[in-house]
Amino acid sequence: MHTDSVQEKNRAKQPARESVPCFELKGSVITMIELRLLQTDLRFFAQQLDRKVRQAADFFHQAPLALDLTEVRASTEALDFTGLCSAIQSNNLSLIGVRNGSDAQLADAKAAGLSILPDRFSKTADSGGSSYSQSNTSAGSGAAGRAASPASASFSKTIYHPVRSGQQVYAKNSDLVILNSVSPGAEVIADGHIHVYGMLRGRAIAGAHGDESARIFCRNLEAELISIAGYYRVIEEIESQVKNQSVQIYLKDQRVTIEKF
Amino acid sequence: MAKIVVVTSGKGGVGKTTTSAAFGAGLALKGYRTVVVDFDIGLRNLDLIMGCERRVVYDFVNVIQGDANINQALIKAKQLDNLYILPASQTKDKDALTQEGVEMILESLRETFDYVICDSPAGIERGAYFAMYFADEAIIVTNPEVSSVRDSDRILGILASKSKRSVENMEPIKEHLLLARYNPKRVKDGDMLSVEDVQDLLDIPLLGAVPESEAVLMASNRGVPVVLDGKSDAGDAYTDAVARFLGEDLPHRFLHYQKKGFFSRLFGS
Repeated sequence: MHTDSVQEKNRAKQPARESVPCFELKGSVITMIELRLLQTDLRFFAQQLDRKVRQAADFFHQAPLALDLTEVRASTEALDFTGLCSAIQSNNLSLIGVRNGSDAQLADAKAAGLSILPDRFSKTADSGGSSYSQSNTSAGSGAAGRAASPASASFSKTIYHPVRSGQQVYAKNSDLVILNSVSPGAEVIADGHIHVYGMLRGRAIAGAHGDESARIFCRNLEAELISIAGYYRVIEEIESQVKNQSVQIYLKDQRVTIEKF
Repeated sequence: MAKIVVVTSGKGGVGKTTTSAAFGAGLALKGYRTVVVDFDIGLRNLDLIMGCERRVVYDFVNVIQGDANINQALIKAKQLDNLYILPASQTKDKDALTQEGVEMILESLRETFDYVICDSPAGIERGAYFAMYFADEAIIVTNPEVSSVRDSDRILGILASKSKRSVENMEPIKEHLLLARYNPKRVKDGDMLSVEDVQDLLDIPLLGAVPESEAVLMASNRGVPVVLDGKSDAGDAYTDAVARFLGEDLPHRFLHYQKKGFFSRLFGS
């Protein structure tokens, strides 16, 4: 009776409790060890794995492992997934899933309680990747490229040609990497960081959507204007000792700060 | 199949028309059938510099509008057999140019000539746009001063993003830099940008530097392309530049100030 009333009291105090989420879903990339099976004859598998793991026990301890069947996918011989699992588990490795197998092999793996990972050379991943890199080389189309391959690990736009006077390059929601020079009168803008490997003589605007942690990195600073998240400095306000130097530019106490490397 | 070469700069008065005439004559001297097309509709100059202003009957716009055929409008240069010019219209303005019209003219010239040189007007408007749109190669004429260099940079950006070759994802236009009105003495005194400064800013291969010279003005006034004047250093510089344009590897002769050589050239020898 007493406890009930306490509980009720608590509930009344915090009416929003049910709406507090228990979890959230996020995309993430995890590095794991890939075990490539080279043959279907597994009589010596446990023995060889044991020997390998003992060479670097710390490295392999509880390491996540993906089983890759590329080399054996042509084989019609059934694989003993239960045996594989027990050999792997007894070496303190955790098998996450299987990929690149034939349909029959993957069905067997599923039946043995393993999950199926996406194939490395799957059609969708491949075409997405190439359209991403293509559209990102041309000015102004980075956003479309990004949407086409949300799984891509690199969110940056790369420009190989010189950015000439009057041209403008914008990397929406991403970093901007320029492997050439930015001429006076040109403008390079990114929502993230900006890297310039040629001369930076034009305007560079990083964190264009207000990201105060965005930075500008350049090999030779001669910029007309540099700006981070709306805070800016023009060339006359750039100290002479950092001009023509390799520098990084960031925001410190809401002030555009230039630091030599 | 001819190569279409645009001579452009962005800025006015840097020497585009002089360069177009010099290159036209230089290529013709080397035996190539060459035509120079004046795109400066409404401000016709090329015919004067090439000395054929009295023989203009039909012009570029007449051909576009179908009033004349291309052979009626072409004028043969006086001094050279391989050299022709297609004059601009003096009475119309640049609105008379259409993409189809320009393409039709250039394609028909492509069939009969080895080189089609398009003399671009200043600016980045319609005339300049059509002069560069169909180009295979570009000669960027720049004077050694900051505003000219910046305008050239702008033009290079336009060539790389708005020309037919870039729009259709073909091999990019081949770019060449020609530095006109170069004065090695003023460079030495720090009054003028040096070749190195300009190349550092524009970063394209140099065809040559043409020294500032009385000979250019005199040649223009007489209507004789400056390369035909065998005694001037500007003429020599253009002859070298044409040879480099055709792929020859020549040392640059007029980049640095030589006290003795300079005066001996100035006061004759």
